[in-house]
Amino acid sequence: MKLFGKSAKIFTGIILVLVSVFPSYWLLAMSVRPMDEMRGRISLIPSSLTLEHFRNLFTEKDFSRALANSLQVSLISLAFSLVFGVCAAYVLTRQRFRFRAKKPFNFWILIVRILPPVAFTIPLYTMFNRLGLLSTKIPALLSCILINIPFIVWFMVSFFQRLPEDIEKSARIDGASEWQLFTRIVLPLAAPGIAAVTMLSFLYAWNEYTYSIIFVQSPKNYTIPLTLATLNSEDSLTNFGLVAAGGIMSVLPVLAFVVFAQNYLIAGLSGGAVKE
Amino acid sequence: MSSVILKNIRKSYDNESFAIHDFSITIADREFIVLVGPSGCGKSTVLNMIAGLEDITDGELFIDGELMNDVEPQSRNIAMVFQSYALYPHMSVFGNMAFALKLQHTPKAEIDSRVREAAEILGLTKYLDRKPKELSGGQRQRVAIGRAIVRKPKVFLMDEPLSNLDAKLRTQMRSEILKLRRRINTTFIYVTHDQTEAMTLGDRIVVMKDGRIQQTGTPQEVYSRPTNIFTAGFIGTPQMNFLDAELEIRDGIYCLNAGGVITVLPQDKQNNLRSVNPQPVTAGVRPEHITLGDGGKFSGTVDISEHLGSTIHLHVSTLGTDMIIAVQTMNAQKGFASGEKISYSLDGRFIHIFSKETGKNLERYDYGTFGL
Repeated sequence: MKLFGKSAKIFTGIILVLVSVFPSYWLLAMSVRPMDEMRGRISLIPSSLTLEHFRNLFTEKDFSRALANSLQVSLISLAFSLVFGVCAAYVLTRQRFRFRAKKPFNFWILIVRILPPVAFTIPLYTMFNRLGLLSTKIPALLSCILINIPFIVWFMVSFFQRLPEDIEKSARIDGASEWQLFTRIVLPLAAPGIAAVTMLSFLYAWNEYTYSIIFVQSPKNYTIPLTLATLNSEDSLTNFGLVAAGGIMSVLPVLAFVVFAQNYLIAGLSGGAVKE
Repeated sequence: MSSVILKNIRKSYDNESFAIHDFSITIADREFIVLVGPSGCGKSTVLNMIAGLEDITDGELFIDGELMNDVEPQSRNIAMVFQSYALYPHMSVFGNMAFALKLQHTPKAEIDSRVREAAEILGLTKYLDRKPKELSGGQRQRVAIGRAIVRKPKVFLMDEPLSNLDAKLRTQMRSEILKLRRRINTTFIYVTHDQTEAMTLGDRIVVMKDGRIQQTGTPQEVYSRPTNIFTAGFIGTPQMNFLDAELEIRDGIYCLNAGGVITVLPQDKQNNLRSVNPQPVTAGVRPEHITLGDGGKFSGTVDISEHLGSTIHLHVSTLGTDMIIAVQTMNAQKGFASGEKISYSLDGRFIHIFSKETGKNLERYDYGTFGL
């Protein structure tokens, strides 16, 4: 009975691993499988490997432009969102910063977090249209900023609230100006939180589709999610190798970014700072 | 010169009620002053206002003769040690101690020598490369003190720096602070709720309650001449005993009638009480000033006997109240049993007489305003 229980656990574990890992494996396998192996009965392991889908992706589909567009939109929106979001969160959590807009600002953050992103499409469309921005990448960039700033503020507020204020008082007495205090004490201590929001915000911007499909009208400004959608829906519908290669290429920069940002996700950075 | 003067300082957070009321004190250059009081009495608020970490609602603060009300903390040339250590966790011990000097653009060689000198004083030399989380509580507190002394500040502020340490380490650090004080010889303002720290460290003590100064004086003055029942009860361990009594004048001589037993007050108290009318009073007697003995006029029953090594604290039911009597162990070899009847006497020299109505000490001393 005991042996059966253990076997059942192992079996369930294997099934769960397969369910979660298999789609990724299949995507990778399809991206390197020659076209002639994709007809009829498809084997689990490709009998030969090819990079032709990746080559086609860049030569025929101009994927490098989509990659560049995505990097531009994600990194620029991330930089803006981080600078404004982290600063705003710090100002909102510290009582020594008093200003009238504090409450409305908190309310705005809550509203943006509560409402579904699609709720903003009509006002944003009208706005971008009147500004004549629909033929550019700027709407995609601004909409990422619109969603990411409230998210960063919301996340970092709770992070800053947990940072011991005595350390900041101590730094002020040590002679730190407000800016020195923020850059030399607060930011290093908030590094794990900033790394976490950086990863999540980058992922959002990288994968953003809802706003891009509505606001980005020129194919030359398409980001990766839009380009992938066209690979799926046009003449290449049956070209699974191309679609899989596109999928792999869209994941690689994210993986690299996550691995980089993860170095800063160090738990207990403030250990020993104050008596717990 | 680094005197600190607080003139009618008031602090309000809501512009209606006040956390600090009319706080005035002059702290002399190189004086070690201790603000002591129970939690929430406002002592840390006063310290934060001196540091510039909290705004002063009303009144004036002078450091070294300069008005400091609107001066930023970094420009006050003060250093502060926090109860929670407040170290920079991402910096090494050296980095923590050098931080203020780096901000002042002090030359590298000087930073190095000043940090190493402070580390030597505090026994931290071999820990200079470690991060705060790799240190014990006592070592962290030393780093916090070291960080303050490298700056050579005009005023040294300490906010309950020993509260987070265990009893043994606290005693050790207390004596180290005393040595440090002799060595760096600057003005110290020290906040604590621990009256032992206050008594042992301070040149003068400021006893606070509800945002008000109750008494200012040397430890000996505050201990032997408390201005009111609060100070009398707060300073001294175990706490002073309080008895209901009557202040009477018999044949022109002040006497204390406690439970029908008349105690004639000595000559100095006769002088100090002059012109005070006979009235119901609260008499205060410290446990160590009560003498046990068969010839004692008062009697009581032992409830509990606490043996503390060198002394025994007897909790005694007497005169309708519970009283603590401190007995030297060497004078009570056989010990005490619960329920044992004892007799004791009160020495008129050590009885404090407080108004039942106001709680203020009714004695007036020759040196002027009571409690300085």
